[in-house]
Amino acid sequence: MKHPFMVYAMVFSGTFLVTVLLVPIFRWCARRLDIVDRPSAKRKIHKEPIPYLGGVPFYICFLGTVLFIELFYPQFSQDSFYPMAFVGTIIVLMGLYDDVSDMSSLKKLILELALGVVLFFWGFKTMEMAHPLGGTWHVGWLAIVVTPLWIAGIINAVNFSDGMDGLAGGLVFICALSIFIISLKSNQIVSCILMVYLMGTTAGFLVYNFHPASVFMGDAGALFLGFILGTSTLIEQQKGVAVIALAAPMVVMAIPFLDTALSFYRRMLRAREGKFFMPDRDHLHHRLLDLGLTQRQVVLSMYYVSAFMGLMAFIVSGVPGTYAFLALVLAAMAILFGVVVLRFIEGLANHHD
Amino acid sequence: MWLVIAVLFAGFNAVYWPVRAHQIQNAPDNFMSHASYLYAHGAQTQAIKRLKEGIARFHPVCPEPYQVLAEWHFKETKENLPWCMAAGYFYQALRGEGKTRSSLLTRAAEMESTELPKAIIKPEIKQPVSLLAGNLGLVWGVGETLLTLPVERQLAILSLSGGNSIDFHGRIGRTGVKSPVNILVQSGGGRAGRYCTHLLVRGREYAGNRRGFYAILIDPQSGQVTQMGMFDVWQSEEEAARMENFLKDAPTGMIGAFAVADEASVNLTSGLENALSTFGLEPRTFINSQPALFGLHYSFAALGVKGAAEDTAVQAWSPDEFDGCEGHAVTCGTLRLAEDGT
Repeated sequence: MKHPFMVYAMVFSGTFLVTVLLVPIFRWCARRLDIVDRPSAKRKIHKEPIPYLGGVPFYICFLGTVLFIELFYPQFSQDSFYPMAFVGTIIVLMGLYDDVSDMSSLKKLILELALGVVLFFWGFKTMEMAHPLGGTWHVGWLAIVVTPLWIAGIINAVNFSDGMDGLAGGLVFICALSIFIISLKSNQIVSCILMVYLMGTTAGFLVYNFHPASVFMGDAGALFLGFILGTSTLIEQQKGVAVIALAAPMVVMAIPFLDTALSFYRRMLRAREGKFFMPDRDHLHHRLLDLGLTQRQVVLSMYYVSAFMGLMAFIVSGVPGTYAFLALVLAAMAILFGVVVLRFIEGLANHHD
Repeated sequence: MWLVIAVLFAGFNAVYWPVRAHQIQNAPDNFMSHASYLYAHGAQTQAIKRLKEGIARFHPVCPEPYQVLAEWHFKETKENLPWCMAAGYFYQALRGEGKTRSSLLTRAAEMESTELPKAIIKPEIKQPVSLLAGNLGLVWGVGETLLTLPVERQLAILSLSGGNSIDFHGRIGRTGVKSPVNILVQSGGGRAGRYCTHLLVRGREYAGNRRGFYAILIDPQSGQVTQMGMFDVWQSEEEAARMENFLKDAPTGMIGAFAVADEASVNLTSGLENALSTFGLEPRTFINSQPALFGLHYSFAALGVKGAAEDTAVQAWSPDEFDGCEGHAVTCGTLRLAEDGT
């Protein structure tokens, strides 16, 4: 199968340019409407109020990309694009509501899971799951659980990583780049187009969001990016049948997932005090910052680890089943080792204090 | 700001839906509604052509396309299309249950058998035909109904299952080669799983019930099976590469018979597709608007000749599902029906 590299180039450059043009407009709107992030809470790192709404262009670029494909390259069109646009609109509205007047994490989670169920019945009714060691599993109706959990998981992973200048945008860019390369190799044209869109729009956003940031994507942007990343990894096609292929995206997204898992663990510990849905300042980027790294160093080190995981995902997708399993084990061990080292350094720092 | 999002989404809908409706209308797998549109607007010949193309490309496993084609054809020419009517009954039977299914299958067999050449069927053909028909009967939940039918009608059902891909004069598709022996190939991909896969040469079985792609090579002079292989193309690309080498090493002129058991598309590499094309096989179906040999959970059986021109082999396939209807096991083959071999 021949890849339409011209389409990829057009989608990338188009989304990049549109984002670069639109972000300042929405930044201006956010200032006018006073939709800004004030550095009041302890977990906030920035010192000055920074406008939100930088993520709205992601949504506009997505709608534009879908229309571009429909109008000029209908052979790459998918039935699932419209459900993505529709549910994505609700996600953006939910994010905007959260940016303007804080929405509780519980309500957000319930809504995300409900939207995942809606998506399952509307275009994402995938009952086959790619086996990490080769072939597929027929998971049947278990997919109704897997699909919403996967989508909500990625949405939250991206949202949690949005705590530092350029972090969420950069991580999504690296994840999209890794999945793009994997999809390129396995002839997944639609997946490639969606990843190129994500790369273009996040690259355009990073122009304004890399440290020192002049605009934040806000929950509207973070939730939407997570949503698109989650759903686009679900529409991989194998010989005409959609297959849930989670192994490679799970490795690519290992850092945000790890952060989410650790956050979940901390929340479980304080659940007895009724603080499960209370945000904290213990995310990986916060802890690295507390060790004395600068914002730029933290973000770049997270990029570096994420790129390494992307490479691991590429290996997982390209080697025979047994080796893929070994690569997955290796990736898990590398992550575990990283966590142990982080705890050890934190222990040393506390001891010095 | 919410208003801005609402306006953007409304604008998106205003452009998206008219374009999408046009795309859907012209999508290859939407041939039924496109043909109906053409027919309703007075383009009857074009509508029939579109319907025939769609049936040939997608082998739909629901009765409507066949019933509509039979009806339109009759209206246009005042002549019946027996195979089409038989296919209509056949798929109606697969959709039905119990006695309805049995009686419709019997009716389909009766109609299709009028299309078969009138010849004395050799005894050696009866046993393999009964074996395959009996299998289908079990898979389709009609018990031994098919075994109670005369052998010509059992043959008719087998022929219908593969979309008329059994030759009764010993020919192997359009390769120009005649087989010295009777060959029947049945694929139990998709819903039939792996328990309906057979490669019968002179009535002798060469397939098993393991998952993957079965292939045998038959000498075109002696009719002897010279090589056989089973490749779990579901499992890994290495298996696909092994099958590719198996096919590449086959001498020119060898007859190749292929059957999918359970699933063999997950690691169907382009290298393997190319190797199969050297036997005259060609991507004849469409998946996501792209030509394909077969897809996930498809049943697929084929008969070709090494070195034959592309698109000359016999191919039978059934999709996993079409328009909500489940796929089925398929049979193809070549038989020398009469005693004199005509």
